[in-house]
Amino acid sequence: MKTIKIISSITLLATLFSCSDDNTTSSDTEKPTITIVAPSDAQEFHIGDEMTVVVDFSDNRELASYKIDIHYSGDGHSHDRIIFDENTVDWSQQIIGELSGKNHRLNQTIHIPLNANNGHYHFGIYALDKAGNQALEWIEFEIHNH
Amino acid sequence: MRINFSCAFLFIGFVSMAQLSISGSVQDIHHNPIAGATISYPGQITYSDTDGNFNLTVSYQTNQQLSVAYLGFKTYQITIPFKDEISLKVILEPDYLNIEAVSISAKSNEIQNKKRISKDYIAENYTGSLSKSLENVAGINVMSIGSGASKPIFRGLGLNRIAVTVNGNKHESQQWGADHGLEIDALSQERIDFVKGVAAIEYGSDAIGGVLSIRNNIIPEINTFKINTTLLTRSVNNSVGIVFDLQHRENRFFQKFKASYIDYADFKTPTDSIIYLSRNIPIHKRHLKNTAGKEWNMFGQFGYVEDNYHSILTVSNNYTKAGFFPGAHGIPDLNRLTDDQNSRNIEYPYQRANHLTIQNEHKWFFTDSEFTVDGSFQNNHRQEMSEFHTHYGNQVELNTSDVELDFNLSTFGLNTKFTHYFSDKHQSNFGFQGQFQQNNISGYSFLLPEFSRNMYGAYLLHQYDFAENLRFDFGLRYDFGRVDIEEFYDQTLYNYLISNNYQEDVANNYALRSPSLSRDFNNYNFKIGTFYSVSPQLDFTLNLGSSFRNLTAIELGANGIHHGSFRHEQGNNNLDAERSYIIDFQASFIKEKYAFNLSPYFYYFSNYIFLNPTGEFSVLPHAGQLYKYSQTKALLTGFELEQSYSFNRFSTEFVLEYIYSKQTSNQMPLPFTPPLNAFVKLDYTLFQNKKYIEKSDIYISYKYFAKQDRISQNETLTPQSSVFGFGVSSELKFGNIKPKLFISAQNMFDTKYYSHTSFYRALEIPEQGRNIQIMLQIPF
Repeated sequence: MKTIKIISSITLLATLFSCSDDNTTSSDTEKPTITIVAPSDAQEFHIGDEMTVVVDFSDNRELASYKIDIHYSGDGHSHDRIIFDENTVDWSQQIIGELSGKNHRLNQTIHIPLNANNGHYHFGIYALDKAGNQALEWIEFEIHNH
Repeated sequence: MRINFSCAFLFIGFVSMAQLSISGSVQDIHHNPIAGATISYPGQITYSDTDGNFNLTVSYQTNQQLSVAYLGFKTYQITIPFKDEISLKVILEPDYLNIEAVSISAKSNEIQNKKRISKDYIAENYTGSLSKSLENVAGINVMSIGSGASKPIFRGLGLNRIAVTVNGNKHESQQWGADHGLEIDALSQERIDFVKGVAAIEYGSDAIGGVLSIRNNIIPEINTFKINTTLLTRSVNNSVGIVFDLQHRENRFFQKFKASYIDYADFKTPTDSIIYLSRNIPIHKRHLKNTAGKEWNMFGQFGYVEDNYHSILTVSNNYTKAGFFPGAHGIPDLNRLTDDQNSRNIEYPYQRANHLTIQNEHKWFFTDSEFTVDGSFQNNHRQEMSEFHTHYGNQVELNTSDVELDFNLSTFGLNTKFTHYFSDKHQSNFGFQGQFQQNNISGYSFLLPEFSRNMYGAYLLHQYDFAENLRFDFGLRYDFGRVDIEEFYDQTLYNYLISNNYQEDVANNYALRSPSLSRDFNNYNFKIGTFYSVSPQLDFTLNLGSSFRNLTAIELGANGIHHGSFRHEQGNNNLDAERSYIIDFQASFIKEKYAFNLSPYFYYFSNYIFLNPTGEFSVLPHAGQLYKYSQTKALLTGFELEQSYSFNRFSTEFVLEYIYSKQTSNQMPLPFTPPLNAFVKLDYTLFQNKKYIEKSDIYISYKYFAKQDRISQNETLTPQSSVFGFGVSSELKFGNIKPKLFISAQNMFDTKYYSHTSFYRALEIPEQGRNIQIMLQIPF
């Protein structure tokens, strides 16, 4: 009797393992791809410039949205606030927009403010597809005064 | 085989006929009965029962020996004299150098799926930190952060879904964080029990995947004085370490003192560069920059022991300082990854943590009951240091402190347990536990709010021995408590967003990094267990029960970028405590030189908490989409299979693990689920009973991880891996001194491979390269 109970519990557990994965429908785990055409890595800019942004997005199913993330990444030395000119700021800008389809080219112009600090900046692009998979690409650029 | 240190007591009866009656009991050195031990005499063989008792009647043969053998222990032999009745009490000594030092013996009173791990297993398998040293134990995987820190994963569940207890008290640190390890000294612990599955009745919240029950308060034998010094060095991170261990007991008083220190450099990984976010990041000289560290531990224990009472005071402190790879926080700056020509320095960013534990236990023994009270205090002070930096250009505060995050967590605990033996068939345990916890924060960044938490639990566990080979238990537990979280409003962030032309309500939402909130919780849990022994060799354990875990302050109220996970995470006060129902089954077969164990399990989470990607971007710099804590139903199932076999001078070990998980919200697996994996070890006794060598074993091992392509959203697929190990473990003898020498190589072929559960997986950093280590333990 006890043996039967034990065997049936094992059988029950075994049947659970035979349940197959129903991956048939929308388990999209593939991230979109991002190609940053412009600006180029380590490109130099000046305050007041118009930065041309060209980015190609593609996805296996459907693109959803993008985010441009520009922020100061330091000049390799201390980040201590003391040494910077009080009239300038570490320029930081985030732009969020929509995407659609399987392929999308984004064209955008970003104005570099006059009070941006000199130094290295990160230029990052996030992309989301409809299923919520996120991709990120980033490059560095520099800002110098005239 | 020869007679060893096991002892036996002979009670000699009068001589009559050529038939001898031999009876006795078999125990381990902790006086736990050993069932299924083989007792043999030429022409006769029998096995000890569940209480360790045996008896046999033999025809006397001159000078023949009675043998008592059990896997994992040194065989005991004695020449039987010609006496009518003989009664033996046999205490078997563990065979430390036999791979089955992970003992499957010791049928304890509790009906649990439990595995005992000996101190010597940890020494032989030591790989830099406690959890990583246990990674080949069936059911255990590891989440490692660098070469000196790791956290355990039980059956695919980690962080707050497992509990680690030391002498019965839950280790309380920032368990929710994946970027730091367990602040417990691997080499000072005396005994570890890994309890799988159903453990919530006795341990309360968090004991979902299992409990690692660590003990370092085992009472020494009377009139003992032992000193042990351990020296170790590891090539993968050029570490050097020393451990000193002393214990002394005369009669009623005992003292223990332990101290250790280990210093390690950047660890080696078999790659010259990593491709992360399509950037080529150089790994100079194949050393992962700034992953050096150091750790020191101090431990003192004082005890008073009488026949019916003992009291033990334990004070221990663990301090670690370890660097973070500069590429692991946010977007890596290539100029911060240049070679600094120094592999031992610890520069920014780094973390340091100090964990202090003070615990006092009192235990009274009565005729049919036992009562234990223990109180404890823990303080976990963790800091993350990084050069002051801000993402919000307007942060004008001139901040010269480089403490980015500072968490100071204090926990007071009280455990009481009363065990009553009604008869030899019925026994009950009543317990009451209380805990008060306070978290204080500082630092220029914000991650975890200030909070205070009160938790109380009461439980009843009753065991009924229907027959010698059929036992039942059932348990009930009730927990209640309250957490109060303090508000944190980031005015700087508000100002930054306003100056960047965001709406006031948007700025407000982002600036409220944690709301002020109070939450009451209560939970009921149950357990039903059955143990059935078909024969002394074969037994089954079936446990059914529920378990739960209370929500963390992060899950309830966080709002911001977690730089450890590179995500903007949002808490949710509408969540309920996590809850699961578990069926855990174990079949165990042990006979002479062969052992087999199969342990399938099934978890149904009626409420599983996870981070749901919202598809909406956070406006903050350094952040992608918003992730919000949500709840879903989930299931987790799998099994562990273990087999070991000894023949002649060989012994083999095989472990296979499989985990399958799925959450119903998105039909995807649970994150960080380890793939199918297998471990094989082949051991050969090279030398035995030589002049200076008591025993010396040589082994090779192989660990296989299948490809993990059942991944959760935004996880990375991990390819399969095959990694080889090799070692020589020896017990030497020089007069009265018996040092142990462990020489081993991990990742023998310097294979480049990834671990799906490693913290650095997201950065495409491979696992540690070839390591050759030497550990020498010198006892006096």
